[in-house]
Amino acid sequence: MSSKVSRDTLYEAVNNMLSQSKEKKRKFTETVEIQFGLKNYDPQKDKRFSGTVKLKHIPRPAMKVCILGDQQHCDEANANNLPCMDAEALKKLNKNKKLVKQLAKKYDAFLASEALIKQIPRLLGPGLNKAGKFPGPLTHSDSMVQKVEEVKGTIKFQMKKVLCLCVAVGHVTMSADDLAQNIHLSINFLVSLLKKHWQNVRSIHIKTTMGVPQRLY
Amino acid sequence: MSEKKGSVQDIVELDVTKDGDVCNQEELHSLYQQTYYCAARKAVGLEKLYILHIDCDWKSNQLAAALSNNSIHLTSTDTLEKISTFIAHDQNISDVHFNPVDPNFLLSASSDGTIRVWDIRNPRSHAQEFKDDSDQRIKPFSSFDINCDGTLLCGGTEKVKNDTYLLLWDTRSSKILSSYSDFHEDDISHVQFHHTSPKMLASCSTDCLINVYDLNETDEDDVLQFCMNTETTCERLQWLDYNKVTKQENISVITNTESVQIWDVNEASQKYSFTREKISEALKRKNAETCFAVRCFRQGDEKDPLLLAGSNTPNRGCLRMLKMRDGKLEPYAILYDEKGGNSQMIRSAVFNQANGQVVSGGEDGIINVWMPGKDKPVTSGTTRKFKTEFLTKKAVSPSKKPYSK
Repeated sequence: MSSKVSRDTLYEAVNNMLSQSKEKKRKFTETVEIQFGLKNYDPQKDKRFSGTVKLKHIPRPAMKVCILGDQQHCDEANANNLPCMDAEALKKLNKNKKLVKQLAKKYDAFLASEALIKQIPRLLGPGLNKAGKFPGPLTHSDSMVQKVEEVKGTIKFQMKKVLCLCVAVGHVTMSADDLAQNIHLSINFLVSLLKKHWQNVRSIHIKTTMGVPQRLY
Repeated sequence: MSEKKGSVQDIVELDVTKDGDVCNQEELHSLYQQTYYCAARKAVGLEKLYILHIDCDWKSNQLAAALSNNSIHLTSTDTLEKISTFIAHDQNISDVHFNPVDPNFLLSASSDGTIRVWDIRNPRSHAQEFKDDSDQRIKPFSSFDINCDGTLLCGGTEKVKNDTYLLLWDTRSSKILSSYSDFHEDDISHVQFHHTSPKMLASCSTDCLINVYDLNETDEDDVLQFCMNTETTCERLQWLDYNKVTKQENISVITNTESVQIWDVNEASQKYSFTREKISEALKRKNAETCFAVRCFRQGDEKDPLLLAGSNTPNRGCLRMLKMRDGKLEPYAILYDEKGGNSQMIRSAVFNQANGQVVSGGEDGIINVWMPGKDKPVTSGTTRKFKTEFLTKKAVSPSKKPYSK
């Protein structure tokens, strides 16, 4: 079948993007994002274009995840140098809105033990919901470290009223190969969700936060 | 160097000309044991309109379909003969529901920020309207529901600036009962009351959460009972029948990535997860990338719930039902429309627990009625029970009618 984005085009664009970013160093680590332009798609009536995708290489390594755990999980968290809080610590917050808000601000995401997770609404109220940081589930059969890596490697995308979607897929200190792999995975995944697949895609670009868009399609 | 480059291949287009079933027709029919036939099929109009939402009142034999031109199309549930079509809102309709207590009344909600009640005997103008513009801001509804005894109305909104609202009204007055803005951080994609408990409500959102509320409480801090993080954006939830064996209340959710999850509410834990690939496999299809999940149906009577799913590959599509039994998906029924083809992207469907009837509608503007059993063979002299008809009249806005009765 016809190639939509050849391997060469992809690597050329990624390398151009990375070298441009190196030329003009910024005070922060720039994010790399894919920009999708759609066509033959009406956000008012077509199915919602949204979801989460787990990338192979972590796009946000600095993401802070806090474990809300039972005794076993807290021990595991401490052994792995991961921040954690137990049921007692949560009870101490006393459903105080301000304290819960502060907790939400301190971390990017939370994971909670199964036993604890069903108590969260009663222990903390809707504060974490409002912040969009309600914890994900953590079982005892999961590897905690692996689950944290999964959370860091999963990105959410949602197209709202305009026909353009931007998805963060990495950062400029990643290797060209890792970026290429993340981009490859994301493009295939996103296109598979569109009704007419490639016929709904008008253009694809990649760019760094401050850089010039590089066209892929 | 060349080894590294080899790890990423060219990005190619999926070849859908090869899409189809993984087995032959004979095997397929031996797997899908429950036979269904298409009892009726009708287009809603000559224009290219999507059918976005359908609700049926089985007792009164009525069907309401919300279309992409913001109108509502009313027909009977068996012949699909048109009763009326009327423009309901200024912006897109997010859902329609018959009043469960009095099916003469139909409700619709819209991004125009209103929930309207229509007397279907006279839908010229709405009989009642619910909205909250208390702070001069329109709150566009992305979903709504009315509870089983018709006393409570709930609307879930899109995210407006930094807030997403869950609004509640007592249906008997237009005054708002509660306005909650802390429960979701992104668009509320679906709200649904429990089918027998009038004060139990669930909502799901593109913030990845399914929330369950006890509306006997009123304080925002106490209403939220359970919260389930699906870790993917949710499109639609369905309360399932209470399982007497496991003693569980379960909720199913269809995600925006065409997967299905089943959750145990009281434990706030996930029971089963069916990826798009698993669903495609259970359907016996080749390509998961063309499969989509439509609805989870409760069958009642301690029967397993059903998943309506299909593929919209042109000329090679399908619409089927799978039984969701103990964490496995099993082939159940094929909904085959000989005349219409089977590649319509189905957007809404309803199930009649009394007789297994399914009504579906989609982006080709066609409503199908499916009945379990075999179609009666046509012999000469008897009229065909099902026809393909196209309406010749276009939808007329009631305000444009020159004469009023």
